[in-house]
Amino acid sequence: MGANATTFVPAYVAGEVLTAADLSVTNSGIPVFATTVTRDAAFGGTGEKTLAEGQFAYIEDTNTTQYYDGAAWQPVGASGLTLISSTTVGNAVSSVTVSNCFSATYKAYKILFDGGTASAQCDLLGQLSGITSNYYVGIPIVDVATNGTGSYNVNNGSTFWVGFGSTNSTIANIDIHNPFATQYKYGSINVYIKQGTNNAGNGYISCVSNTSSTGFVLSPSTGTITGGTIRVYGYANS
Amino acid sequence: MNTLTVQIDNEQRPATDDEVSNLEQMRQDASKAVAEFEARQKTRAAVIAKLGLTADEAAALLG
Repeated sequence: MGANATTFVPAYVAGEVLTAADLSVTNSGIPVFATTVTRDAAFGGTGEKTLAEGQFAYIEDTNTTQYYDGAAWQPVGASGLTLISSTTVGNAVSSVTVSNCFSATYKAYKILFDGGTASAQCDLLGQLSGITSNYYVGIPIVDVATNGTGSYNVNNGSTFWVGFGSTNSTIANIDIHNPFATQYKYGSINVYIKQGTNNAGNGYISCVSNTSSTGFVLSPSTGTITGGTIRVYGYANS
Repeated sequence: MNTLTVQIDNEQRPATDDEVSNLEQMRQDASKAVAEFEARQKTRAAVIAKLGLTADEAAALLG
């Protein structure tokens, strides 16, 4: 938590004697919070303001300024894509779960992972939190050396592809619609290369489930991954 | 003994039995898809060989 971060937004009553600390919080302009969790906890309690339309907030862990529109927090000055979460992958992990990145704020999301390495050539697999089946994949493949074609498919499986990894790099790049909505989820894997071969492609991923998911698991098909950053972006609804 | 390490957001810990089972299922499904792809490619290569097609002819015919 930074030096200017707060954990509450005060409301004062008539006749109340204010301290220097009270004035420091009140005069700090847009309140600064470590995370959206501390932001949400700072309103509505005893001695705190009631959250209402027009409230601003700065979130340290995503370096974003937001305003409350009366129903949800919205990014200020957002472009089409808004960074929702950034997760640094640790050392030699078999999977990474990114929690609480999907919400009612966005319908569609982009997930990127780069800057890491894998312990061996692998596919990078994904699974939405709380949904372990009903995944479908179709990836047309072209052999970039011979121009031969083929396809990968998963028919009602437990996972979808998000990318690939090697001892040199990790790449994942997918778009997905409706992960939070109680609707079927559809998307695409945008870059795929089968490491150790000349097979490359991009393709279709889906999850035929109405279950709402708030996050996802990313895992190598073999071995572990180390380092790099998983970023989740939301596509603006308007 | 389970030796997998999982990361939940920014914290690492040993995987639970359920998590290990789930990861193994994901990996099995992915391996199955790759194995089926490779089997189809072998069948395709065998058919091309049986027809006596060159690589260019096979690419022109089959994409």
